[in-house]
Parts: sequence; C-alpha cells; structure tokens
Amino acid sequence: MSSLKPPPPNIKASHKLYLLGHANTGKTSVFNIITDSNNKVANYHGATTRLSKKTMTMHPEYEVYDLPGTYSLTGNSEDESLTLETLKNSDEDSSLIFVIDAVNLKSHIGNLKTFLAKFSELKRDVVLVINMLDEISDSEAEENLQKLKSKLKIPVHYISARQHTNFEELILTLADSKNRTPSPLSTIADRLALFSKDDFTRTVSPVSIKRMYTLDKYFISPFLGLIIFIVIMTVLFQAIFTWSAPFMDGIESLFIFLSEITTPLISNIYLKSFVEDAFWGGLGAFLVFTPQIFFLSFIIKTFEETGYLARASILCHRFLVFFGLSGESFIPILTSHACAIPGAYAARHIKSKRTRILTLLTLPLTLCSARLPVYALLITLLIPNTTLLFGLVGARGLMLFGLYLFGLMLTVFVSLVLHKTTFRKSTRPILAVELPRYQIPNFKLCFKNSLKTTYDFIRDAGFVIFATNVVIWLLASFPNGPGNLNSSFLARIGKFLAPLTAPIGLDWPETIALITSFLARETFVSTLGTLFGTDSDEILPLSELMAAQNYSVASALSLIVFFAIALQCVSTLAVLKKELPKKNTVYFLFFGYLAFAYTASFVTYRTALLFI
Amino acid sequence: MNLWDLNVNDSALVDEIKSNNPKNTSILRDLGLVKDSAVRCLYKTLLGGPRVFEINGIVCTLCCDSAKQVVVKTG
Repeated sequence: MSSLKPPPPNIKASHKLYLLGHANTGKTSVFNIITDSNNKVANYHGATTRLSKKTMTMHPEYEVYDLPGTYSLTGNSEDESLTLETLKNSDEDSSLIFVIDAVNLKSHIGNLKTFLAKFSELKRDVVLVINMLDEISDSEAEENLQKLKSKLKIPVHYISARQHTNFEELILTLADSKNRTPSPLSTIADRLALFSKDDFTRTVSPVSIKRMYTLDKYFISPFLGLIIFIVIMTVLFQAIFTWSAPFMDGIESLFIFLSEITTPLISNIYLKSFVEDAFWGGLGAFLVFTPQIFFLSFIIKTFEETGYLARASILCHRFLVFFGLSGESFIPILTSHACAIPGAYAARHIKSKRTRILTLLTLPLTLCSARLPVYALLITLLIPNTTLLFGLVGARGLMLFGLYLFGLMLTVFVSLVLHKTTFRKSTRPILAVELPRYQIPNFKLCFKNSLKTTYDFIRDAGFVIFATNVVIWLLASFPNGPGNLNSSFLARIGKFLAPLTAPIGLDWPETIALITSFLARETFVSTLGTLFGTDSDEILPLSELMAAQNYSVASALSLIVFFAIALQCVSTLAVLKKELPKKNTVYFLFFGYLAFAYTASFVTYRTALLFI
Repeated sequence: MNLWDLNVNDSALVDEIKSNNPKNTSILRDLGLVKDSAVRCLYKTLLGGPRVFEINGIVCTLCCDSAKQVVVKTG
C-alpha cells in the first residue's frame, strides 16, 4: 500500500482537497485515513461542525480540508454556512472530493446534481467517493461503478472507510489531482442529469436497512422506546462510578505507595513536605478521578457510533420543546457531560438560531467531567460505600446519577425561564432530520479516542493544577514552616475572605479551594489535597483527611449546589464568547450564574441545617 | 391532507409545502420533500412527539409543526 512509504521531506502543501457531501456519509473517516488523524467520528448528522485541515500523510503537497456535511444550499445552520462559504472562496486549482453513501446512492446522486448546479459557474477537479461499500453487494457496486464512470467521466471510487477498503486506489487518484484539468461543475451536473429514475434502484434491501427497521420498532416505540431510553441513560451514568471504582482505588493506592517510599528518603523538611503534600497529595487527589473521565468519554463515544442518539433526540423532542429547546439540543447537551466545549460546537448544527442560543446558554449547567472529581470527593464524604437492590446498584453511583439528573433539571429550568421571558416572542423550532442507520461501534477506536480525551484532560488541567499547588503549598508552609497551617499566610488570606463564604457554610480552607477552582473546577480537589496534606502527619486519601476534620453534611450539599451552577471554566467562557451572537452575553452569563449559585447554595445550606 | 394525517404504514405523494417560513421550506425540501416524492409513515411516538417517515427510501423524522406544512395526496 502506498501509504506505507515514508513521506518526502520538507514539501509545502500547494494543492487543496476539499471533502464535501451530505451529512453522515463518512467524510471525517476518509479524512482520518488519508491524513492519519483521529478527528471525532459519530453516527449522526452534524458530527463535524468545524473545518479541519491537514496534509495528506504520503503526499504532503496536498492539504485536505474536512468540511461539515450539507443538506442545504442555503446554509440553514452555522456549519452548513461554513461549508458553502469555504467552497465559494476555494481556488480554481483545488479539488472537490464528494463523499456519498452507497446505500442511499439514488438520493445522494440527486442531491449532488442540485449541489453542482447551484455552483455551476465554478470550475474544479471533482472526485466522487462512494463510501460504505461493506453495506452493499459486490455486484451492485460493480454495476453502479461502471455506469457512473462511463457517464460522468470523472474519477469514481467505491470505498469502505470502516474496513479501510480500496484506499490505495483512492490515494493514487488524489495524489494525481493537480495534474487533472478542472471541469465546469455545470458540465458534471448535466452528466448526472442523464441518469434516469430507475438507475440505482435495487431489488434487495441491504442488511443495514433491514436492521434499522427491526430495531426502530423497539427503540422508537411509544412506551417501550421510552423505557429503553430511561434504562440506557440510568445504566450509562451509573456505570461511570461503578466501572471506574476499582481503577480509582488502584491509582489512590499507587500514589500513597509512591509517597510512602519517596518521602522517607528526603531529609529537608520543606522538600519533604512539598513532595508529600503538593506533589503526591495534590496531583494524586486530581489524577485519582481520571478513570471516571475515561469511562464517561468511552460510553458517550460508543453511543455516538451506534446511531441510537438520533433516536433518543426524537424521544426527547416533545419534552425539550416545552422548555424552549428541541430534539436537536439533545446531542449538544449529552456531549456537554464530557465537556461543554465540544457541546458548544455541536450546537452549531441546530438550525433554529433561537434554540441554538438557548442551548448554548444552558449547556454549562450539565455535569461535565471537570465537576466529576469534586462530586466524587463529596459523594465519598456523604454516602457510605454500600449497595442497593440486592447488590445491583451502588449507593454512590446512584447519588452520582441523581446529580446528573440535577444538572439536567437545572438546564431545562434555566431554559424555561429564558424561553418564557427573553425569548418568548420567538417562533417555535421545527425538527426535520434524516435518521442514520445503526452500526456496531468500533470499540478499538472508541477506546483510543477516550484515552486521548483523558490525556488531553490531564495535560490541559495539569499545568494549572501543578502551578496552583505550588502557590498553595508555599502560602501554607510559610512563615512558620510545614505543619503550622493555622498560622500560615494562606490561613490569614483564607480567614480574611471567609466571611464571604460563611453564609454558604464554607470554612476558610474550602474558600481558598473555591477561589482556585475559578481557574479550572478540578483545581478545587487538588488544592484541598495539598492543604489538608500539609496539615496532617499521615499519608491518607483526601476523603479520609476531610472526614477526619468532621466535615459538615450541610456544607458538602451547599458545595454541590454551588459547583452545579457556577460557570468556573475559563475555556468554556472563551468558546461561548465566540459562539454566542453577542459577545457581552458571556459576562452576564458568568455573573448571573455566580449570583444564582451563591443564592442556591445559601438556601441549600440553611435548609440542610434545619434538618441535619 | 398533510403528512401528519398519515397513519402508520400509509403512503402518499408530496403535493406541496405550505410554509410561511422560507427557511422551513428549505429544510423540508432538502430532506427530499418535493412534488411527487413518495412518503410513508413508519412510526409514531409518545404524546404527539416527532414521527418517522420514509421519504424516497430515506428514513427521516419530522415533528408535528414541520409535518403539517407538507401537503400530500393519496390514492
């Protein structure tokens, strides 16, 4: 295979290849293979909402652009507009690679004809790539290939991006792009018009179509569909805590072990305290929660590939419309459970501007992975490690599921308030989308991508966390040395600021941790790890150190509510500023959620004190 | 009659799209809902939620507001 040869060195990309086509035809999968990338692929329409570019692995003179899929020629959504604008501004010597679906060939050929006719004034080199060869018979593929090649007079390739089939020939064709003469798109559109209604009609349906009809009977069924949806969502969020528990215990034990074997080797009291508390204690307190982030990411990525999420958005549509959102908001909201940033980008696919803005304003309230370490710590403090329902359900996992539900309730509540006030005059959004076929997820790819997500999470937050830990340790260890936390600089700062957070039940150490969490939420846990570690002679998990301080249940509940609402994420704020039509909205959003978080925490704390 | 009036397994041909909103018309047209396209209602969901239709062999979902904008003819 040509892609196994090493690429020629120092060649600058001079020719652009644009991957275009209907949504969910596998453009990103093709992009990933020919550029050796790991861009996100998903089995629903609108998975790609941003432009990606990278040089071809074996032919660096070619730069490949992966564009969002298009249904429309009018740019009904932000991502479609981006594709149409890019195409309009493309150079004449660039090539257009249209990726279409072998199963829906008849319909996609019709769409391609309309698309090319719309841009009839352009002259470009065009390559037709028909993906999903694995879903149709060889005889059908051969017959259609001959028809298309003879009439269109452009390169046509049948491939399977899923099984990496026929990529050698495709790469050779793409590598020859700059040697071909561009054709007027109107000419290709005229040639496509030569195909009659009966061309590409098949007598036997592919297995994937039959599978879709069979499964949809259950998944979209009025009652059974809803029960299946609730069960899937419950298992999904329960699994995050349950599956990750042994790995978390392992990481915790490893850090305690490393701390126990390294600290006795150090004689300097300051260095010893730094290694034990700021390094192992602080970083360990944060890293112990990474298995949860991995499992969350793995579960969401797996579901994205099945095709079920598009069905789930149908089931949620009626419910979400009541709150001012729509079924199209479902995938951005679900994605935000991993991180609000991809969720905000996924919202680009929402066609109604009003629904898109409402989704963007409310998705920071979902329980994202940065909140997970904080909640996991507080749950460990609040809930004993027991099981319910004959050992089937873990009490801590159930609590976490409850917190996911709480995040969703907050999301729809805020959306309803905005829907009934700021957006009350807007027209109702409509839902009209194509449903993808079901497919078995590529578990290997999901695993690889989830590892990358976890690594990115550690890398992005790691520097902030380590730098914060160093500052916190310095302030906690001076002027009287380690072990004198109450007379440290940090205690003086904390006690000065504590009156601000006393109404919501926080003592000065949590106040300090809360302030650092505005850099990144997960810093809260590592700050407490360093802080409590500095104050203790023993090497223990953070939850045990906090439990030893007789941590108040009311304060823990107050913190949970504060973290559920406050928008403590600089990166999310930056992306929302870019995605929202009015840049100032993000400042209102930050201070609005801060005020809401403080008020709700105050009410929670005072109410909890009455009962506990 | 419109698309929303079709019962499960009923088939029809699209006659026209009656919408005051050009963007909605465009969205529906892009799904293949043009004059004389064959449509069939496949599934209904709970409490008047979106329904699933086969439009020229492609499976799509349309909510009540969008399906009511598509005028169809049967028989």
